[in-house]
Amino acid sequence: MRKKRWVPWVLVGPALVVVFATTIYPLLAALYYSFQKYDLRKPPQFAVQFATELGDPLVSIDWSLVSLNNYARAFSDSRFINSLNVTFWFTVISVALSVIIGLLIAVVVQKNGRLHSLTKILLIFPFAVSPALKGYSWRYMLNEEYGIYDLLIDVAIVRPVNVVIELVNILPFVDIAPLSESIVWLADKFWALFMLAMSETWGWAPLIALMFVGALGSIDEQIFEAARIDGANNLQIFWRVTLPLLRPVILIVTMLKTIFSLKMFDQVVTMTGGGPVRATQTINYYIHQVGFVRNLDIGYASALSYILVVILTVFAVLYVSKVLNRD
Amino acid sequence: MVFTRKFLCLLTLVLFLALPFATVSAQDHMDPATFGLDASKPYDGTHLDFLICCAAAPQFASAAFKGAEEFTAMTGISVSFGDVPFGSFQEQLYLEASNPNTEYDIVAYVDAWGTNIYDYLHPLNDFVADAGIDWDDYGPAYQSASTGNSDTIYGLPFRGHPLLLHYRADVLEAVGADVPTTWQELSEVSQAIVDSGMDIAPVSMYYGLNVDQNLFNWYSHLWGAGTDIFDENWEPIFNNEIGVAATEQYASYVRDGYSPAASVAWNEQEANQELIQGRAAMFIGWWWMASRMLDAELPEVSENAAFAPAPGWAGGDIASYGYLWPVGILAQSDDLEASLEYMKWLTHPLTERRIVLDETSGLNTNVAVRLSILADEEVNAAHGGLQGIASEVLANARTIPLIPQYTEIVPILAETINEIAIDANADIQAILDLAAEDVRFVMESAGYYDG
Repeated sequence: MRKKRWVPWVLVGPALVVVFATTIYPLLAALYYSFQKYDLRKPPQFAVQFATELGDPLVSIDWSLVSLNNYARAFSDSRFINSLNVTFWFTVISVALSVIIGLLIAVVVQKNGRLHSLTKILLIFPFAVSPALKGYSWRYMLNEEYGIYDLLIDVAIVRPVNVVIELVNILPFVDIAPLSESIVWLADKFWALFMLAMSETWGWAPLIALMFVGALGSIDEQIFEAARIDGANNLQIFWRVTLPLLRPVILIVTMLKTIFSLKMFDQVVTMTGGGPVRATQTINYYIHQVGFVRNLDIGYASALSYILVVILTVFAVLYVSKVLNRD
Repeated sequence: MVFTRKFLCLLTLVLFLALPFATVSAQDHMDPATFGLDASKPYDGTHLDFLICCAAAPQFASAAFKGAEEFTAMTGISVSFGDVPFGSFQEQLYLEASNPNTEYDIVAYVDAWGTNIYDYLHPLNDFVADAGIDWDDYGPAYQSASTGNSDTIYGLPFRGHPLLLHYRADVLEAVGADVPTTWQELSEVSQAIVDSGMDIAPVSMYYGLNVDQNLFNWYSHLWGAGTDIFDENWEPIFNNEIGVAATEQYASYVRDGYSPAASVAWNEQEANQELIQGRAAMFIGWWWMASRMLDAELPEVSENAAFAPAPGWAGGDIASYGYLWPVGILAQSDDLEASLEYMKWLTHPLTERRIVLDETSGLNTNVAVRLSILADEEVNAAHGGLQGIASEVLANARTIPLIPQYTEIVPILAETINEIAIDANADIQAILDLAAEDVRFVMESAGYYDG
């Protein structure tokens, strides 16, 4: 029977069309715009052509407009440099907290049992909350006047620590200042970034925990038995056996979370507005401001986006290669 | 008995005679001639799309939905409303305006954002002249905001907001204070509230970063003190001696402990919540928020709700930002004539009056823009005189610099105010100087100082 070569193309065709329209075309268009002076305030001729003629956009490129100015401008733009810095620290904090807390949750809930199963089901809920809503919730929960998190931090941390400080201050020559109960979390540059990362961790750590639960379940129980017979205690088993065996999964999870952290946007808009001052203006947030809110400079915003794409591509390639190697 | 019978007969006669007049009056809003609409329905079957923000908010809902069916009945033109939340409206506005194939015909926009879409808006000068619209029925601030301080009318005033002082009459009475008319008096009243030992914050300000709301009251301080953002040559001057004094006064409310410490991160809504929930005695914000205080759940708030013009500068001017949402027609609209018909109806004094007198739940709003409606006795009676207070404020209201670069400058200013607010020891002069340098760079890059 003759093999019909067109059948696979017909089957894959609709998906290819969708991928081209929603991914490839926007990527190519943004690449083109990144070399242009494209001000959204002025109707660009090529944009009109794209929209009305449905011709091949690449044919209508006016190469005389092409330049690297947008890319050069990025590296002398203090606001963009600031957003790189903010994104770096946000990524470091949110990835570290998500992975560590996720791992701790996994170790606690990995055992079988009705309560553990229920906990595992409930773990998916924080991840299911929309990032924008997460930002609003955290903003109100951190409010110094009526926020529940602010109250919890005061009751569970600040007040007990202050009691200890008060006791210590009884000693001669000791005068330690008590912690403030009135920290305005979102008005402090460090705490605002930290709390932004915490809101991200709140959503991601449970999901990562579920990934670790799966990985822990795949480790042969005999390995733990052997360690116990050799006299290792629980802590030693965790450090010497569990962690090394989880290392590939930790690496994959870390890279996946890094990619998502680098793209942080929604919570910045709803939780901090990029503030205080510029302390939580991530790259994506800044690009959005440049392109659609402040400068309306689509060319420059596209160039900044491509710089982010390059950074993300490095992690994506590492991630994919790691996943493929693991398979 | 005879008297009663005669009286009833007379009353019946009067009512009978009055009936035709009442019918005519009630039907005015259904008569195309009232609005200057073409009774022959030349655009029958045309559909218009109106990009509007926040349709759940009464000030927009009332204008968008009320009477839309009546307009359709008179003209055969149907209108649908693309409701976009405020948080994403600016971006949506720019994308739709710059899209040659946009489905939208009519857009409502914030004055400051309008400068970025002027090239996409149909000039309305001829329309205003032909339709006999009384341009002088709009205050100077609203006229400026609709024209971008040029000769071209890009939009007609649609929803407009003066800044009011929202305050608790019982608190001020308890401390024996008069309603503050200047910012300096606001500080004095605040100190009196602190001294009284009352468990309430004197004033609730908003210095946080959120759609640049922390600038609204700063402008009032700046303009009142006698300076501005730019001089006549577009050089930044907000960092001069007067600007520093104005900014010091603006920052003093939180620095002196009159406004809660958390207000350095608050937006306008959060600050207003403090008033509504009984934790603050005063708040300076847009007049559309008045209904929140009047409808507050706490009786001590709702029963003591009072309003006055936003304060001015002691010994200086009273000037505040008159914030406007003009409504315009996109140049790429395929239904320009039908859109103009709709504009006639939407911006007509009768439509505006009916909206502001409507007591339907969810549509009840105090917002009006025409001076004649603001001076209307019945309208004022329905809203406790709010429109009269608004008129007083609008008489001295101004608008912000309406140049395309201002959307780039605004974040610089908003971040500067935020930086000053979050650090009680911040050097205001130094921070304003840095901001002025940044602002100058934006203006220089745009060619404002060439030649």
